[in-house]
Amino acid sequence: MTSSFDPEGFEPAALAAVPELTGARVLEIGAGDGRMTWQYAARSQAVVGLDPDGEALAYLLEETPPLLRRRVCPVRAHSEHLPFASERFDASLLAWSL
Amino acid sequence: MVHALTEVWRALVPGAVLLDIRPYLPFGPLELVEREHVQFLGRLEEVQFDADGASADQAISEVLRRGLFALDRADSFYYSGYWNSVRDLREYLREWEDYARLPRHLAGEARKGLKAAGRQAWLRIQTYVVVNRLRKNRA
Repeated sequence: MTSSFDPEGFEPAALAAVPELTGARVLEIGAGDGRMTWQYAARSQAVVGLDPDGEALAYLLEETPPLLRRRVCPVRAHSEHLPFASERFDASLLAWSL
Repeated sequence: MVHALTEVWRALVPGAVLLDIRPYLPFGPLELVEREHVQFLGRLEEVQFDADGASADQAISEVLRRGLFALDRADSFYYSGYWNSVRDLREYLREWEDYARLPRHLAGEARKGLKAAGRQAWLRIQTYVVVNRLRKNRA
């Protein structure tokens, strides 16, 4: 290994401290390659991972752990025009994206 | 950004939580870490002020002012990146080249430090990350 990120686990700890993600329908904006998604998706009801970068989303789709595949749905779109009905999500996450 | 936050507000049920997690630039200093020992090597060269960060803060303030969301709490943590070669550090920084650059003299210091410290040593940069927890107002 030549690089390592957040081995201290501060980011997962920050997400773990948010009980509202549990059992929730989550809209993650800037999901990218899914780095943050995989840290909480297992306890959510469903996650829509939104990103304008199709390449990153393809990676997310490919690398999503098998147990999370039915739960995580990548969507290519910009946050200025969300392709969803109103009041569709219980929680949202701006993942290094604002 | 305000428009994006307004869109998120629309997509959320009343009372829903919105987490805004993002780094605050500039990056922390470049350090050489060997087990418990941390050595300051120097600072990255700042290419430009992170205007996006300031705009994001303004956008959050604006949606709070409009009463779309209320701020539940604000937290922070340090997100650390570790590299065991200057080449890998440079590769990572390519993604951030609009904001920060590894100056040649600092790259030299880093190489020298890694060589002297041996295999247990890592280069480290810590990034300050804020976590704003907002809640969609019912009104």
